[in-house]
Amino acid sequence: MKNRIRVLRAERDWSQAELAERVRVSRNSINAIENGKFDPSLPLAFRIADCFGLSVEEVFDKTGA
Amino acid sequence: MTNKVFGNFGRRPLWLLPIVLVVAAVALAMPWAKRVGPLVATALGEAGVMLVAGYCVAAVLKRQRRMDEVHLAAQGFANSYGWIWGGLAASLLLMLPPVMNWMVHLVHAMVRVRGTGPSGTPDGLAVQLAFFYGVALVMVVQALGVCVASIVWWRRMGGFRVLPRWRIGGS
Repeated sequence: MKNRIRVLRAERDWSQAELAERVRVSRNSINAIENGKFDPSLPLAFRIADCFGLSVEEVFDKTGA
Repeated sequence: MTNKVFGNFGRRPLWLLPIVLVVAAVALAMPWAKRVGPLVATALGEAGVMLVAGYCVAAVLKRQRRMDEVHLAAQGFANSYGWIWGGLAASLLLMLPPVMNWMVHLVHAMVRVRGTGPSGTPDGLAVQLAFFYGVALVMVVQALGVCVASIVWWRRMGGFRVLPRWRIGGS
């Protein structure tokens, strides 16, 4: 599943570690999700989207599977 | 506080401190226990093993509580593949004549040191030791298999860090 986490992070000037702290996961986990290597669970996807103030659909692209 | 004193990496060896303390205490008390009687010595040894095993279980459970879903998935992958790879590797190792010969020599040497049974004949202690070393080998190789599987998972995820952060710089 593709996502816009890297772009959204860059817009806010957040590091992976900073985002990881905000969504209460490890930096490695953010890296895996950001690179599309791991699909997050629904609660984690919502937490990430909430963090950016966006909806899940605006962060994760369901067509990019 | 410990983070400030020891740094991000230096804090980890502190987890091993209770194990070192228990092993040292048992080792120091063992001569006294042997003088008191073999039953006390056996009980002391078993109490030490139970304390270390209990601490390890508690430490693992404490660490698991802080894991996120990617870590739990990594653990699931490592467990499901590592035990199989490890078991297979242990079986292959035991089939290798040098390894098997070394283990047989080890058991023979231990039995001779203890002076139990006529040499060359399998006695109870030799069989016990053979079982112990066989099981220990399988467990150690399986644990290594789990570590390898975990490394494979994190490399696939693109987030595996071989060196501590202070050596390669954070991203």
